[in-house]
Parts: sequence; structure tokens; C-alpha cells
Amino acid sequence: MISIKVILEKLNRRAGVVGSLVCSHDGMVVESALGDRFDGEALAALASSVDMAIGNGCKAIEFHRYTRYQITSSSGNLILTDLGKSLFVVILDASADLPQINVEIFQASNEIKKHVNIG
Amino acid sequence: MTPDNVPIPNAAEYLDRIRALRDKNDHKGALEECHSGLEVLPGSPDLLLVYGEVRMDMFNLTKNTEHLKPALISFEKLLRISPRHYMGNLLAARIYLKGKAYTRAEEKLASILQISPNDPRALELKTALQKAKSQAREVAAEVADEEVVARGGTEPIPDTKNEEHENLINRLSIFSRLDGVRSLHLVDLSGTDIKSVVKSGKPLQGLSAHAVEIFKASAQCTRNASLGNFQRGVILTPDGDIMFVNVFYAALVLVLEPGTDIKAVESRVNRYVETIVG
Repeated sequence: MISIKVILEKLNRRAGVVGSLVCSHDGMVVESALGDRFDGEALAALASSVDMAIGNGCKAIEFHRYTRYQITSSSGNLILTDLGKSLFVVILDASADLPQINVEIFQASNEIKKHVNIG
Repeated sequence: MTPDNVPIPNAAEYLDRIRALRDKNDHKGALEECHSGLEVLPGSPDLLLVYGEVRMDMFNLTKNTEHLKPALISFEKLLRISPRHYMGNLLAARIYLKGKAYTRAEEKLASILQISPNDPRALELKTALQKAKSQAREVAAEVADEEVVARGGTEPIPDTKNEEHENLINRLSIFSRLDGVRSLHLVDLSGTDIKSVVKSGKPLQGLSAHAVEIFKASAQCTRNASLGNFQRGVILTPDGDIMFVNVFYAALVLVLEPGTDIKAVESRVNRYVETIVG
């Protein structure tokens, strides 16, 4: 089985992908391929707080758990995918082809799930 | 280089030309040069700033308030790229003060004073703002007193935020006849409902407070990831999607039916945001 690091690095090679990270729902980094520009621990903690806020919001309106959250900002996108026992965070710059990257993220998510949902 | 091997000018070249035209008091020429520059480099903070400044020059010269709106839009665009931009915040605060949008002016000054608590220009403007607010309160109290006497009842003093909220509410009609929207919610950044429109299904109680939490957490996340200002977010769930949109002083939340065409919704959202910024 390919390691999570290899899956993240492969995704990072796609045009527009700036970095990616897998963390637990409580904000602990499982694997990071963010590079020196980013503080993985801080981003994992913030992703966890977004995850918690969305979880609470969905519960309040009696919606099932979310599968994906796509943030658009002035300089790019951030995609948060719920992998069950963990979160998958992908940072994209403005040049990313979103529909194409979404497919890549879906495929990477399925690969990562094989690792993180064991046990 | 472009495909035709024509070099793309950088912002500095435009800025030099604009500076020269402003020195000659050729405001019209400077404005045209700003337009040309922003066409090529729409996200250049320097060009956005100078465009606003040129518009303010023209306002100072002609006293025509029509120049203030594009100036303000340009400063707001600049601040979305660079929220702590000193001149962007200062000049936007001046226009808001002029337009009696005191809360917004205060926010801009707070951004400056958070970094430089003793900044003389910001402090001077803050004093002017407090004076204007206090005069406005006196006038409002006088009017309210007169109305109380006339009606024999009590009336609340108008909130300065009401005007901004009215603008956001009035533009919601853009979303009428849009398929797949279950409900729309305008929420201010303290989590208070400004307006909710339920088109189908039961009302979603408790969404507002959570929406603001999601909004704030998302904004922190994008800043940490060096992605600039949070603009919008889409949550995908099996029960339907939820879209959050930053509408400057509030959040617009759209709850969508499962399988709704997100592109169509985004197109309306873009129109909504465009009409708000003018």
C-alpha cells in the first residue's frame, strides 16, 4: 500500500496544488506535505476548528455530517474533506483547475482512507 | 511576455505615469491611466489605492460626491487583498465618515490603531468621528423626543447599521426564481439574524449562530494558509449543500436542496455581491 506521504506528494505535483495535510478531528497532524511556507500544526488546529463548527452547524439543522467543504478566498481555495477518522486539507492557488483537482482529491481521499480508517 | 511577444507592463510603470499626470493636475488623464492599469493588473494593491486617490482628488476639486463611491469600492477591493493596508483603511474611513457610516469608519480606524495605537492621522480622524457621532446622537434624540411627544409613545433611536442591512435585504430579490434554494439567511457577524427567507421545508432553527462560527473559523483558516480574505464556502452534505458568502459586514447563508446546480447559485451570488459593492 502506498504511504499517505506519497499520496500527498503526488497530489502536490498537480498544477495549482500548494500543499496538503491529513490531520485528526482534534487537530493532530497525521501526515503533512505543506512545505516550509506553512505551519502544519497551526493549520491542522484551524482545520479542526472549522470541522467542529461545521459539525455543530449540521447537527443543529439536523443534517448528516458533511463530506467536503470548499473555501474560496481572494488568492485561492482550501478544500477540507471528511475522511471519517481524519480530515484531509488541500491548499490550492488561484491557478488550480477546480473540477479536475476535485477528482484528484476524491481519488486521493479514497487512497488515504485505506490507511487512516484501519483499526 | 504575451503570446505576441508584447511585454506586459508592471504596476510601477503605470504608477509613474499616473504620478506624472497628477503632478500636472491632469486628473482625467490619471484616471484613464488607472483604468488601463487595472484592466491589465486588476489585483494590484498600488493601482487600486491610486485609483481611489485620483477619485478623491476629483471629489476635492469638483465636490461631486459621485467620485466617492468608486473610490470606496477600490479601497474595499484593496482591503480584501491586504486587510491591514494603512492608506486603504485611512481613506476608506474618511469616506465612510463623510457618508455618516460611523460603524464602518470605526472598523477601518480600529484596523490601523490595532497596529499603530498612536497614529496621529487615525487618532485625528477618530476624534472627528466621535464628534460627528455625538452630534448625530443629539439630533436623533431631538427628533425622537419630538416624535415621542407627537405620538405619545416611545421610539428607539435608529441604529447606524440599519441602512447597511436594508441594502443587503433589498438585494435578496436576486435569488427569487432560483431553483434549489431551500432557505436564505442574512446573519450579522455577532450571529444575529438580519433576515431569513424560507422557500421550502421547515425553518432551520439555530443556523445563524453556527453560521458565524463556521464563517470565522474559515476566515482564520484562509489567513493562516496565506490565501487572503475568506470570500465564500460550500459545505457538501447528503441532505443538501450549504453556501456561506462574505458580504462585507454580514454573512449570507444559502441552504440548497440536494443536487442543486451550484454554478447557477454561484452566478446569482456573484450578481448579489456585485450589486452590493456597486
